[in-house]
Amino acid sequence: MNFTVVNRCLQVGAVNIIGVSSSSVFLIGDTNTITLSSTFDTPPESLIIGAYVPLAPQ
Amino acid sequence: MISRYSKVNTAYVSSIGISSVFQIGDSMEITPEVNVLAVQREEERHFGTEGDLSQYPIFQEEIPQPILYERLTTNFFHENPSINVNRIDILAISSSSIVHIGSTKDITCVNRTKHIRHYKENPHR
Repeated sequence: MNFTVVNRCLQVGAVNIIGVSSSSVFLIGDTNTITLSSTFDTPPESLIIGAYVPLAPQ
Repeated sequence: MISRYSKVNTAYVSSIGISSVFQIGDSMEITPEVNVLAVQREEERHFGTEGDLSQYPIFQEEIPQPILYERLTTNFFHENPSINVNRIDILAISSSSIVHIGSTKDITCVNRTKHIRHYKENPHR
C-alpha cells in the first residue's frame, strides 16, 4: 500500500484535558508506532462480602 | 520520516501518577508498564502483607498484539514543518500514560488492573 501525507499549517488554540489514564497517549508531534494495551478485571467474584481478611497474602 | 517540530507556549499539568511520563522534547522509545491491584474497602484497612500479584492470572496472561503483514510505502511532505499549540491544561496523567510534546519513534504502554470491592455486610440488602 502507498500512503501519502501532506502536512500543511497546524495551529491549535487551547487544549483542556481532565485525565490521560490507563495506557493512553496525548502526543503533540510525530511518531512511527503506538501500541497501547489495557486489561481491566472486575468479575462478579471480585465483590467480596465478609470479614476483612488479607487478599492474596505474600 | 523527518519529524516536525512542536511549539507549545504554555503547559499546565497538575498531577502525574503511577508509571506515567510527561515528556518535553524528542524521544526514541517509551515503554511504561504497570500492574494495579485496586481494593476498595468499606473502611480504611490495609494489611501490610497483601498483594501477591502472581495469584491473579490477569497479571500473567498474554496480551495479543496486532500482526503487521502488509507492506507499506509512506511519503510525507511537510509544507509547514511546525505544530503550534498555544496552551495545554491537564489535570492528571496516570496508569501507564504519556503526554508528549515533541516527536518520538515507538510508544508501547501496558496497563493491567484488578479491581476488588470488599464490604463487611451486603449493602444492597
